[in-house]
Amino acid sequence: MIASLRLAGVWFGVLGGLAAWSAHLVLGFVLISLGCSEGRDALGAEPTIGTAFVVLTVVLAAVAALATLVAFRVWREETGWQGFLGAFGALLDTLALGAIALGGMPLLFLHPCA
Amino acid sequence: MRPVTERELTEVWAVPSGILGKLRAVNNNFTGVVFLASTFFFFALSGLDSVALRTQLIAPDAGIVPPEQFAQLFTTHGTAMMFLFAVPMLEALAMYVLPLMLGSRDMPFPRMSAFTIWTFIFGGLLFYSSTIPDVVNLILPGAPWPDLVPDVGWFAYPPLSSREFSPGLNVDFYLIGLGFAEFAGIAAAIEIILSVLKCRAPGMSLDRIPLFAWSVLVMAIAVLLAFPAVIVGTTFLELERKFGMPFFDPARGGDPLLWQHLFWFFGHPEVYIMLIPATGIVSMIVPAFAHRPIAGYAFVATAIAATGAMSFGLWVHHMFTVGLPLVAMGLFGAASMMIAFPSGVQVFAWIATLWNARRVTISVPMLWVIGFLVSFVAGGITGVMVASVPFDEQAHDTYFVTAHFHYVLAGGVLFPILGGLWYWWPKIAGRLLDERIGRWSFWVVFVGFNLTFLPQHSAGLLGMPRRVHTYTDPVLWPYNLASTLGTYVMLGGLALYGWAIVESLRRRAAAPSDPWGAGTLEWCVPSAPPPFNHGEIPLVTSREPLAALAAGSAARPPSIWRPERTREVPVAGRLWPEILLVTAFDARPQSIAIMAGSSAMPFLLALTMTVVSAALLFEIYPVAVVISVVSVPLALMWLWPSREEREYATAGATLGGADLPVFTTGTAALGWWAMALTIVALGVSLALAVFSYLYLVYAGPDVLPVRTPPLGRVLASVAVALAAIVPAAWALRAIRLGDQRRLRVGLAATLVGGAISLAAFGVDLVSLGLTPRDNAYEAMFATLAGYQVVLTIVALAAVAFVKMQAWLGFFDARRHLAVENVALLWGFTATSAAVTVGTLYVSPLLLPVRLP
Repeated sequence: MIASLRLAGVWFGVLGGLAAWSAHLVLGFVLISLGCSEGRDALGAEPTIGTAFVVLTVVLAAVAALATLVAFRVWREETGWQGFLGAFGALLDTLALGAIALGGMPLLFLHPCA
Repeated sequence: MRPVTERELTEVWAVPSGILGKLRAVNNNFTGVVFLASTFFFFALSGLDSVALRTQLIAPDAGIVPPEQFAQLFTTHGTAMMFLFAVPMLEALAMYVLPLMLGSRDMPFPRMSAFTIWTFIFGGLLFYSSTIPDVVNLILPGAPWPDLVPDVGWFAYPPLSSREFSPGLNVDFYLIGLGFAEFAGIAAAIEIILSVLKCRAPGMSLDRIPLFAWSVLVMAIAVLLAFPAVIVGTTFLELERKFGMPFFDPARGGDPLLWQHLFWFFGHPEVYIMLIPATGIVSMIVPAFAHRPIAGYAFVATAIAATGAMSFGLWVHHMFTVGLPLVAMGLFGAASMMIAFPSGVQVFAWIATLWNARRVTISVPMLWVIGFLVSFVAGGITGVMVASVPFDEQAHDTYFVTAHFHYVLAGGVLFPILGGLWYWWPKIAGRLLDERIGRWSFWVVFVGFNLTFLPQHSAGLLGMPRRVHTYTDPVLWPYNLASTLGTYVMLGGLALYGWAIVESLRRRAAAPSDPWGAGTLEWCVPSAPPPFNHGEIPLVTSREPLAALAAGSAARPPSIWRPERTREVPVAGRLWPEILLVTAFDARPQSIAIMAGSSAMPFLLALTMTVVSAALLFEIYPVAVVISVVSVPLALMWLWPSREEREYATAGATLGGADLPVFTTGTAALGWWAMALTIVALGVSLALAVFSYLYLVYAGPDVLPVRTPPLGRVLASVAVALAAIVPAAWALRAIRLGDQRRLRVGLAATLVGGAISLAAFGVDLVSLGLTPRDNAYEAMFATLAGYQVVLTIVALAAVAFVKMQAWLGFFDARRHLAVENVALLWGFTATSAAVTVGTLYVSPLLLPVRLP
C-alpha cells in the first residue's frame, strides 16, 4: 500500500505539472472561447468569466508547484533511474508552472473577453 | 549443448535473395535502407519543385511558371517535404539505427516495419501520380489530360479546398495520399516506442538511453497523439467533398476554423516531430566529435520531453489572425514563448560540451552541426518574434514567416539529417565518405541556404506575401534575385552530397567498426552490420558502453550479457530469429520474443490498400469494396500463426536465456503494448471527433438544429456493450487457469452481447432518418455514430477471429495474448460507445442551450 502510494507520488511528481498546464490551456481556452462568444447564456457576465479564469490559474499553478516539490524530493532522495525521473519531473514541472503563470498574465492587463 | 554460430545466425536473419525475395524481406537492415532511399527520392522531387518556384520569382512577372502551376508547386513542395521526407526520413533512420544503438537484433514487429514502408512508398507515389497528366501535357502539348496536382497549399484550408472552389480531383489526391501516409506514420511510431521501451540491451536503464533514442521516443509519442488529428480532419474534408457533408461550410452550419483547429493540432507538433529527432542526432554527433560525454544529460533528455509535450499547446498560434479572444490567444502565446526554454537548454548543453572538450574534431558531421546551431538559433529567435500576437499580425502570411520556418526546418532539421546520414553512413553502407567532397558540400549548401532565406526576412517585412506567383514592387527584386540564386547554389551543394554518396558506394574502402571513436553500441558491431545486428547481446553499465568518450581513446568492446541458464541449441532443426525484451525503466531481462519471418503479406496488403485508395479517389466504389474484401484473407494469413510458430516452444533458440519466458502476456508482451498504443491512437481520434462535434454545436458560427432523440434504445445498447466486457474478462481469467471451455463460452457471450448492442444502435440510427447533407450537425452526428459502428464491427471481427482460434485450441495458460488483446479492444469499444452516446444523445440534455 505504502509502496503504491509512493509510486503514485513519483508519477504525480513526473507528470503532475504537465497535466496541470494542459488542463489550464484547454479549460482556459474553452472558458474564454465559449464564455465570451455571443448567443449563449452559459456563464453569464464577463466578471464571472474573469474570476473563473483566475481561480483556474491559481489552482492549477498550485498543483504544478506541488508536483515540482514532490519531484524535487524524489530527485534528492533517489539514485539511478529513479533519481533521474525525479530530476526529469522537477524540470518539467517548473517549466509547466512558468507556462501557467505566463498564460494567466494577460488577465492583469486585459478584460477577459477583450 | 553448444553455442550458436554466426553462420547460423546469418541464415536465420538473412534477407531472401532475388527481387521477389526482397519484396518479402522484413529485416530492418534491409527495410530501413529501402525506407531511407525512398524518403530521399521524394526529397529530390520536392527539392526540384522549390527550384522551379524560385525560378519564377527571379524577377517581377518572370512569366516562367503560370500561376496555376505555381500553386501546385508550392503545394507539392510543402506537402512532400513534410509528409514524404522529413518525418518518414527520421522514422527510417530510427528504424535502421535503433536496434544497433540499443543493443537489439531487430525492431519489435519486422512485418509491421515492412508494411509501413511499402504503405509509405505507395502512398507517396499515389500523391505524386497526380503529376503524370501534367508531364504528358508537357511532352505532348495540347493533350487533353486533366490537371490533377493538388494546389491548395500543404494545409489545404477550406473553403478553398472545398468542392465548390476546387472541383477537380486535385485536393482528393492530397487528402487520400496524405491519410494513407499518416497510417504508415502511426504504425512506425508504435514500433519505435516499443523498440525504445522494450528492446534495449540489459542494463540500459532510463538514465542510460542514448539521447537519439530519447528523441525518437518523444517523436513517436507525438506522432501517435498528433497524427489522428490530421486523419480526422482529412476524413471530414473528404466526406464533405465526396458526399456533401458540410463540416466546413458556414452556409450549412459548418466552420472552416474547425479545419484549422484540427490541422494545426497536428501541424504544430509536426514541426517538433521533425525537430526533436534532429536535435537527437546533434546530441549524438557533438559528444562523438568533442570526445567527451554530453554536458547535462538529464537536462537534455528532459528538454526533449518538454519540447514534445509543449508542442501540443501551440497550435492556436497559427490562428492569431482569425479573430479569437485576446486572453485565449495569450495562453498559446505564453506556451509558444515557454517552448524556447527547453530548446535553449539543449543549445547550451551542446555549447558546454564543445566548450569543455580538450579537442574538437571538425569533421563533416560536425560541420553540419555547426551550421545547424547557427540556423536553429536564428530560426528560434524569429519563432519567439512570431509567438508575439502583435508582431504576428504584421508578419502573418509574409515571407518573414517563410524565412523563419525554413531556418527551423531546413537549417534545424535538414542539416542534422545530412550530418546524421554522414555520421551513420559507415553503419549503412559499410564505407566512409569522402571528407573533401563533404566539406565542399557543407559550405556550398550553407552559403546557398543563407543566401536563399536571409533576404526573405527583409522581403517579408517589406510586405511580400507568401504563395503569390509574382510581385510588382521593384524594391522586392534584389531580395528575390538573391533568394533564387541562393537556391541554385544550395542545389549545387546537395548535388555534391549526392556525388559523395555515389563515390562512396563505387570506390571507398570498407569502414572500421568505430571510425569516429564514438561511445554508443552501434559502433561495436562491424560496418556494415550483420543481418542480426548484435550476435552477442551487450550488457550496459554506463551511458557510453564503449567507454571511448570517457577515455578519449579507441573504443573497447562492451561487456556481454550472459543469461543465468542457457537453453540448448539443437544440432538439427529450425532456429528462430529472437530478440530480448527488457523492463521499460530499469532494463532487466524480462522475456524472449520470436520475430515473424519474411512474408509477402506486408507488401501485398500495402498494395491492396493502395488500390482501394485509388479506387476511392477516382470514385470507383465497387472496386474499392471488392479489393477490401480480397484484402481480408491476406490480413488473416498475416495474423494466422504457422504450425511451426505454434510449436516454437519445442524448437531451438539462438538467444540462450533458459531462465526467461518465451511467451508472455500482459505488460510484459510486445503485442499487449501494441494494442494499448493502437487504442491510444483510436482514443485520440474519438476525442477529436467529440471535440469537433462540441465545437460546431457550441462554438460554431451558426445555431444548429440539435436533436434530442429518445434515449431508451441507445442506453440499452451501451449497457449491453459495457456488460459484454464481463464475459470477455471472465474468458481471460479462465484461460489464465487453462480452462478452454469457459474461454469459448466467455468469448461467445462477448460476441453475442456486442452483436446485440450493435444491432440496437444501428436500428436507432436508421429510425432517426439522419440527413447528413443538410447541415453540419447532422453530418457530425452521422460521422461520429458511423465511427462507432465501424469500430464495433472491427472489434467484433477480432473477437470472432480469436474465438475461432480458441475452438482450434491455440491458447493455453501460458499463451493467450490474443485473448488479452481482444478483451482490451472490446473494453475500449464499449467505453467508446458510452462516450459517443453521451455526446450525441445525452449532452444536448445537460449542456446549456445555445440561444439564436
